[in-house]
Amino acid sequence: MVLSRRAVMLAPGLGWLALLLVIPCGIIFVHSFFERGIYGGIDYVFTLENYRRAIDPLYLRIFLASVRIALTATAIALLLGYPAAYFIALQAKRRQMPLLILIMLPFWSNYLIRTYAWIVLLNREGLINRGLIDLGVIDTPLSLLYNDFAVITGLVYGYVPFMILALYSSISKLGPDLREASTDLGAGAWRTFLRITLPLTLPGIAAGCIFVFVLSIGNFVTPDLLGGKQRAMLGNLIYGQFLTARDWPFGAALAFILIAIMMLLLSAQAWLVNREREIAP
Amino acid sequence: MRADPVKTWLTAHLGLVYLFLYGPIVVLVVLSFNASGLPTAWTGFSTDWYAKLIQNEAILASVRNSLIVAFSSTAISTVIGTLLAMGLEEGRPSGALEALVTAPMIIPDIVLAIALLSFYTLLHMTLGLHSIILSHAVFNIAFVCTVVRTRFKHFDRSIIEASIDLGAGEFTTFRRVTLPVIAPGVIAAALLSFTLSIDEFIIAYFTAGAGRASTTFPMQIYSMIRFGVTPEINAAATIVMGVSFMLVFLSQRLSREVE
Amino acid sequence: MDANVLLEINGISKSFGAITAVDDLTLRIAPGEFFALLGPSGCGKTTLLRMIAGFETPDRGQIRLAGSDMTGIKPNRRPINLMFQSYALFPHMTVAGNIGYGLEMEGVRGPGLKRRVGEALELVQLGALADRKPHRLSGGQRQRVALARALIKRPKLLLLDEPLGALDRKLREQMQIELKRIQRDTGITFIVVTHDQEEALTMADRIALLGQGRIVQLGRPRELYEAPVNRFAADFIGMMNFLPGKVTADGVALPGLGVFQASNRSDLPQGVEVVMAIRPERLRLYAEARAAALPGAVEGTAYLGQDLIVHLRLDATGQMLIARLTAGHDLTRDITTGQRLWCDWPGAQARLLAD
Repeated sequence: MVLSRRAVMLAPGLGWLALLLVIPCGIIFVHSFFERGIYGGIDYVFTLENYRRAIDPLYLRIFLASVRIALTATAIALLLGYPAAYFIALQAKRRQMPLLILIMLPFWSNYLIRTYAWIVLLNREGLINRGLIDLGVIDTPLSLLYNDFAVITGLVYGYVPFMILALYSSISKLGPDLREASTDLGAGAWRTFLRITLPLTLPGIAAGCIFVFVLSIGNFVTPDLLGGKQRAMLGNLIYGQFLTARDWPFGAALAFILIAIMMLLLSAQAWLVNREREIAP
Repeated sequence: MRADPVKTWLTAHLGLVYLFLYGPIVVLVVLSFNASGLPTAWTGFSTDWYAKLIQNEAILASVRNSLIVAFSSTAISTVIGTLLAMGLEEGRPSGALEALVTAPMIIPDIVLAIALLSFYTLLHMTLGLHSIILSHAVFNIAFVCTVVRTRFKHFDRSIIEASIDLGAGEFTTFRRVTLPVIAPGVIAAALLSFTLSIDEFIIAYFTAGAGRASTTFPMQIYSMIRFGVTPEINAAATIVMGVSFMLVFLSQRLSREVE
Repeated sequence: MDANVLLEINGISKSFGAITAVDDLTLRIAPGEFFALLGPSGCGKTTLLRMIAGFETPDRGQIRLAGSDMTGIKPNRRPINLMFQSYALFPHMTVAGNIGYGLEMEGVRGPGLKRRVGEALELVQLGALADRKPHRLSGGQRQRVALARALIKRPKLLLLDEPLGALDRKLREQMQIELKRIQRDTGITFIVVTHDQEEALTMADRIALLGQGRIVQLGRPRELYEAPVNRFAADFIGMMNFLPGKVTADGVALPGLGVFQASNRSDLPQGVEVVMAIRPERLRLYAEARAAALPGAVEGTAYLGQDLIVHLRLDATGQMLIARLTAGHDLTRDITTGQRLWCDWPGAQARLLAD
């Protein structure tokens, strides 16, 4: 009786996800083991060629470049985000919420438009080049756009709010008691930070970093709009296989490599969270 | 009183972070009122770009498409996601179900996009606004479910038993007690779902099918950006951000009033 | 049907997985009684309450209310109301909205509803707060709203789950008296679940002390306090000194202390191991040695205002005894730690416990 009522509530949602998430992902998983058809379709012949091709130097280079860009963006977001999150968590309770809302507000507007803003800022006639020339710092405009720098800037800009949010929830859970106890026992501010705050907020750091890394490495829009033509990332590569090269099996294999990376990182995070629970039940 | 140097430094840092976050947005807004439309020089205040924007048939059509997609997928996912949240909260926790509900929120959009395209192609489905709606509901159901569940975590579940104890049936209890109490969560979830759907680009791009008929607003913006820097985008950006921020402000006000 | 029985619980059991919460329990409650289910957490008292309310289904056994079987009757169809431990007030409704909810479910509307809500508010003295939302009420006010909401339907039986648990001490004592008054005025049968023995002793006409899903002792407050049936009951209700010993021909031999008399269990055969239980307030203390009094040293004292608690370590065995002296006692002024004192107790105040 109770069970059937629960089933009625669960069925539409779980059904939807099964039909439009599980089955489609299953399909591309299966596709990734087939050969590409001559006219862009799929020949149902089993092969591991798609996965072998993924580690071909040509693609491996793109793959490693994606990892490097995503890692750099993650590191910068962390360095930018930690002091900000820490400072917000130190404020009086009623001031924390407005400060956080201000951090998250840009996320609520369109990602494309926010990326576009950086084209306006960074291009050769853009605001930053104009400013620098007007100030006499440089004579000829710098190439700030269509390179890794622009992509990393765009990724940090897009995802630093998530980093701050993840760090904030970890730091604010700590409360002032532990810090004060450490100071009371004779540790200075810097040592208190290194010995108490930093280790205890490690799960928050991990959560924020994994979040930013996963969103960055799978990103399509930012490298597409801010990166140069040769500087494709994993997301663009998958996009290309589906919409231009019409090699769906290979695109599917790349997508699964992306999912595998993500799963690996998320289980690492789950492990960290479990460890934290054991430390502080 | 001496100023704490660490505190001064942290304050300055937070200020810079806000500058980083809002600087680009402010630049777009200012430029949208620049007569020349270019960042090179200020040539006077003008609303011409807004006038141009509302005369642009392609943009207007794409806005209409986006609204259809966002409203439909929000309606579907608000109902289904809320039911899902209630169902999940009622039973024993299950790792597999949790994973299934979390997956759409963390799977890279590009992966979901190609998976759905492959699925629709295999079914020989005609693509259009309807397939975008179906696809957007996938992640929206997950987000709605998650937001509504945080609301469930916050309230004392014994009020449901209290209502039954006082003689109410299951449906009356839902209508008079459960729904009003989770309503702020449901409204917040619907707003989030609407925002996500109206901003979503890549899944829409893959599942819209050929032809301009089902171009959504982000798809339109994307092709304008690819085409080159057009001042019209500044005006569009200003409007979009204005509307988004207003919605956020509204939902904040709403949830505070209920508390 | 017996007119003197309102609630009849016949051999009910309930398990959750491997844990038996209620174990073959039988109980009868008379109409108009103020009954307390007392016990430590995990003793099954809340499960029993929830089975009476209908939120849990017994694995075995039967619950009858006023002669009719409650099996299969949903909680919303039982003439029983429950006051939740968390109060479970509807946060989006006003005080009046909360209180009127149950009557609305019966189809009462308009002036009739308004009048009865007004009466209920009057009963719990909350008339001025009718339009407030629960989050703007104090803990004591919330408790009164929850009580009024449960009472307004005039149930045959009102169940109260730890009704005073969330209140501070002063308010709790005040509400104990208030609850008794309301119960008397309305004539409704109350069953209170509590882990606080003082609360049960003050309010209840009868108490069932529960342990591990069974009734350990059932009786009036005075019986439970003065004649506990076993060590668990003696320990749970009030403070108690325990001295292990053995039954002999002359009385009870306490090793190292001598032979003493007890007020009960003259039926026990010689050689049986027993525990002698003496309430702290029954111990008598003397400043000088006297016949049959046991010498000891004061280890510490605790001043409680009207009473003084003295911890005395017996010279002979090293056992610790706790004595409670009232403020009027001669010794209370000048007891110091380390001081030597002598103690004894009247045989009529010592009870033997066999388990």
